[in-house]
Amino acid sequence: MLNPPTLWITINPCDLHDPIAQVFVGEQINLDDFNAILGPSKEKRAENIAADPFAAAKFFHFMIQTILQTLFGVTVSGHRVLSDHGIFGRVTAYFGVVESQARATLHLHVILWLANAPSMEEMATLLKDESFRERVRSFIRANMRAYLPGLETAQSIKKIPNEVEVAYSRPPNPKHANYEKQLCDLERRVARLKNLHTCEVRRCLIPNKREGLYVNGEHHLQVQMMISSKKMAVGGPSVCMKC
Amino acid sequence: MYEMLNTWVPALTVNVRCNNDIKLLSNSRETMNVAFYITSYQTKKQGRNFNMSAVLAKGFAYHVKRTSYNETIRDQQRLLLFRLVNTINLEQELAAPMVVSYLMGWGDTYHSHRYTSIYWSTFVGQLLRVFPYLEKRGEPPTDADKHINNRCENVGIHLHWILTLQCYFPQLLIDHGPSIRPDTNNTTRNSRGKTG
Repeated sequence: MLNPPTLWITINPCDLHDPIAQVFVGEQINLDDFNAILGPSKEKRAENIAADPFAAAKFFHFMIQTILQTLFGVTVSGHRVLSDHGIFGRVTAYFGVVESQARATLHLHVILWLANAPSMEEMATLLKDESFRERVRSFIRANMRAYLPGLETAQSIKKIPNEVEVAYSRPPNPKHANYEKQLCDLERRVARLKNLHTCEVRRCLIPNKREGLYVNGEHHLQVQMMISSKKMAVGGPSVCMKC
Repeated sequence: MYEMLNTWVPALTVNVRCNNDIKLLSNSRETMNVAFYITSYQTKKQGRNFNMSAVLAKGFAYHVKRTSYNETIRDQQRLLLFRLVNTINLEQELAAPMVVSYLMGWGDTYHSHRYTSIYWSTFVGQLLRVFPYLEKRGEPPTDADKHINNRCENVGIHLHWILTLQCYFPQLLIDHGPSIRPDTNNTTRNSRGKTG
């Protein structure tokens, strides 16, 4: 008995900029000693991916498998589901759907069942209990973020440069002296670029004769979810402890 | 907090450097409501249909212009349907990486468990046999019924979840039998009335 699912996640690997995608295309890139200046250029990368849907698909499935195994700690071997400790604790089951967006990039919507999740009835009681609420807060603090210093308002966000190519990089090296700071810095740069919603006319705001502008399908849903998840957040904004 | 930022998973953001989104499904019964929300998202039909009518019109216009054997109305109607279907097959837009995923057998879902079909009608049949009270809608319950009612309510909770499951994975839990429409219910009730 798995009880209700605990998390709903969307993952949208960036096939345009991720160097791993370029390795699948056949570019010679040293991932252990990565240097963004050595190219290929942004234009060449986009060309590579557009010309090679096999590499794009291979990249997507490789990334998702790797994320499931290394970050979420869940491996499926035959009929067995092996749950190791991952970033969310132990994941006992997952179900996800692959979709393509307008520019043909694949993304995944996945529901995760966490080990020892309370049943619906237990949850109703537990949420009234302060010590359990504190556990939920610390879980949110560790795994969900909607704020970092500098990301307060549209104005403050504008001051952080929008680095289109931020994904053409590797995660910071843990052996590096100021690893923690690099980590935090990268998180802010990626969040600023990738998790900020800007509604543009025609792209997501479609002109409508009767009602003026309205918000288009999936985008509308994302914005709604965003706002509703803000309302639901138990412990207020989660702040990066390292900053 | 700025409302135009969606919630992210720091570990994903740093390691994969991509757009991601997370939502905690915590508040029990409200999770049920979210479940329906997610379901529509999760089981959303693949492919883009916004250009479908244009594709259809273009394909059909091409045929009408080029062929000479559209003498009878009947032929035209038959050909119309045939051509619309052919046009959809030929010209519907699919993302190339999605096509590759299907060709390579990588599929369009990620699931940790294997699923099997549940024959819903037999399940409902069994429930009605064990809890005949479920069929007597609108009639005042007898004392015996009240006793069963309590048991049914316990079962109801589980039924609730099975229904949710069916919403999560409608493609996996396919209803192969007759649906529980009022008319099918009536026939069951009548036949049971005779034997009883």
